[in-house]
Amino acid sequence: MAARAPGADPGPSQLTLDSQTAAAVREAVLGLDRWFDSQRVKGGYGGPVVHWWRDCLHFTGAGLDWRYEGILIGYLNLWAATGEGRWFDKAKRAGDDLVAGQLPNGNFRNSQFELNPGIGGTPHEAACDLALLRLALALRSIGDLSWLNYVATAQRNIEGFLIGQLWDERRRWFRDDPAVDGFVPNKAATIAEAFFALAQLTGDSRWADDYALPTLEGVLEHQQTGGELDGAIAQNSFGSHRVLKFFPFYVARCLPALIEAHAWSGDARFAEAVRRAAQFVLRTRLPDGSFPQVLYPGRRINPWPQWIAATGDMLRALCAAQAVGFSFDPLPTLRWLLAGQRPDGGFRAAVGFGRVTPFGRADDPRDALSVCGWEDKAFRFLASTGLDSKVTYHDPN
Amino acid sequence: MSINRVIPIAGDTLVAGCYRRETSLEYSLAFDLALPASLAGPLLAVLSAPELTVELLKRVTGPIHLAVCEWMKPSTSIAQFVPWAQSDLKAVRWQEAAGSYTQLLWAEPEAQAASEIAAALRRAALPGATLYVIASGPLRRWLPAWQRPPFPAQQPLNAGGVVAALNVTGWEVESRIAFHGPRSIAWSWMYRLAEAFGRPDLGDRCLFAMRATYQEPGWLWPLAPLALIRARAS
Repeated sequence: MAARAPGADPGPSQLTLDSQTAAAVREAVLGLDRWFDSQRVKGGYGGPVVHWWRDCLHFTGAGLDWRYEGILIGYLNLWAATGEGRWFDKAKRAGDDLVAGQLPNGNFRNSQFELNPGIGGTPHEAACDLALLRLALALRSIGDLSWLNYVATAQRNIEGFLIGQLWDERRRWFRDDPAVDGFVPNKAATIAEAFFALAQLTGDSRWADDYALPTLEGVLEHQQTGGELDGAIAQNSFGSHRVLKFFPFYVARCLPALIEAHAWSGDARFAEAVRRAAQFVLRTRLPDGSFPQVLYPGRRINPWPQWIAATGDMLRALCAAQAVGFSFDPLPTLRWLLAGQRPDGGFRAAVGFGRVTPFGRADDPRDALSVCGWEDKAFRFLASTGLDSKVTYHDPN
Repeated sequence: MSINRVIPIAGDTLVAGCYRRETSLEYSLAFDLALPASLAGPLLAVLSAPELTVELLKRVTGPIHLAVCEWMKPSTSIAQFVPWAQSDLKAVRWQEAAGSYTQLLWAEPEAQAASEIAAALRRAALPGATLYVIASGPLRRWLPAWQRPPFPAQQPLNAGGVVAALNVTGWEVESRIAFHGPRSIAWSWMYRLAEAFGRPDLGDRCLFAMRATYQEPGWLWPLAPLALIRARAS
């Protein structure tokens, strides 16, 4: 991993791009930046949402959900790569949206993404906390005392909602819902990332030792052993009942927290879990670089919809897994991702929304939509790769 | 059909409890369609229960005026909703409301005094103003919000009754939509069958199909749990 400024993602050091691809990445990042600006509404970044679980096409107000994870950290990545203050300003503007959008009880307004409008979204509020803590790390590194304000906002949510509502003391992990004995590994992993960031920021290891690591033990329990699904992580569980659906995207979302757990604890089980999960994700990759949506036991598979913008998170996770000895060629997926950009700078959400339903159709308009909460994933990865300090980002607008 | 659960927290306020309640897809779609992102001027709303106020606070970034209703007692004063609002929120009496509004909402009308309220809404509306009415139907008992108290209304008026009341009070009904009608109900049963027979892959496809067929023509309201009616002040 290449070292980066505090708050930014570590760049994927083993990724080498030819000049043509590097130029395409730069253009894509600038296009996304312009597109994000076009999505500003009162209170933050708005727009419709299309998703596997549900769509939110009518409500298009600002959503303070996981879109802020990729947008804010993506701008920190750009700032780290270029040293240009305007990227930092945009990261800070995103942080200010979250501070202003915190409700009287500590939740964030409209944090449920595809279920918006609503509050208490998982993993969305944890993703917002993570973004705020990364911003605080960056601000502290330059001696800006406003970092305390962002930490206070994140900590209020972490203590009031994540610990206050979702922490299950008996199982020692974070539930997905205070009222239900349920666990969702990828969401718990995002929460763990926020707790690692808080531990790093405060120097208090209990955030990692008492919350993040026990929760990630729960993720390990959900990993499959043997067979064609070896390394896959079950989507969720209710009590002792595992829901045996395996989404490569969500398995990838577990990896960054497991990598941090290994770095924090030195426990080799976390590194092994990362390698096996990454191998599973890679085994599902199709020749064009895309991934199927979901796999089921018995070799059943549903390819649709195949994410485009969201593959940025998969690339980020798989590249990060190189830290524990995993290797792969990211270029096929990078090409798949870049080919999905539209002239307005946004990326298509997916291919095949209409093919999911029985007697489905190929031309579903949801495919062509750009969604802040998917674009952020492309943006964050692209802003962390193919860039170096010699690059000057010139925005023609 | 999605669940409608309340996340209890110690010392929680009514508003926070309502805010955390996950809204079922029918109500969510109805409120989304009735409340566009930006409204020209304040919205006048008539709500049959305080819980419904939260659906407005979630969506409306401009001023909201609530017509004074039976539930606005000291214990459930709208003052507790104010810190959660994105703009001004206040209660208005019908006398203050006359001839002022271009956007109006009536959620879960009560059968009692429906004609009087429809007429009062018409007096509050400017010519050409738009009124949305969200009304549950005979299948409402299948909705999570209607499975345990407090219910959204005490004596709910169904869509047919709403249209009749609007027609005689100076409103012109322009369109109607029913939510979760026969097609999506059938797909939801197929989803359950597929899950029961150990085919979650087929179940997921049926669930997608259920969502894709959630909105039905308004004339199907007797076979759907919820309807949305749009009317214009004539």
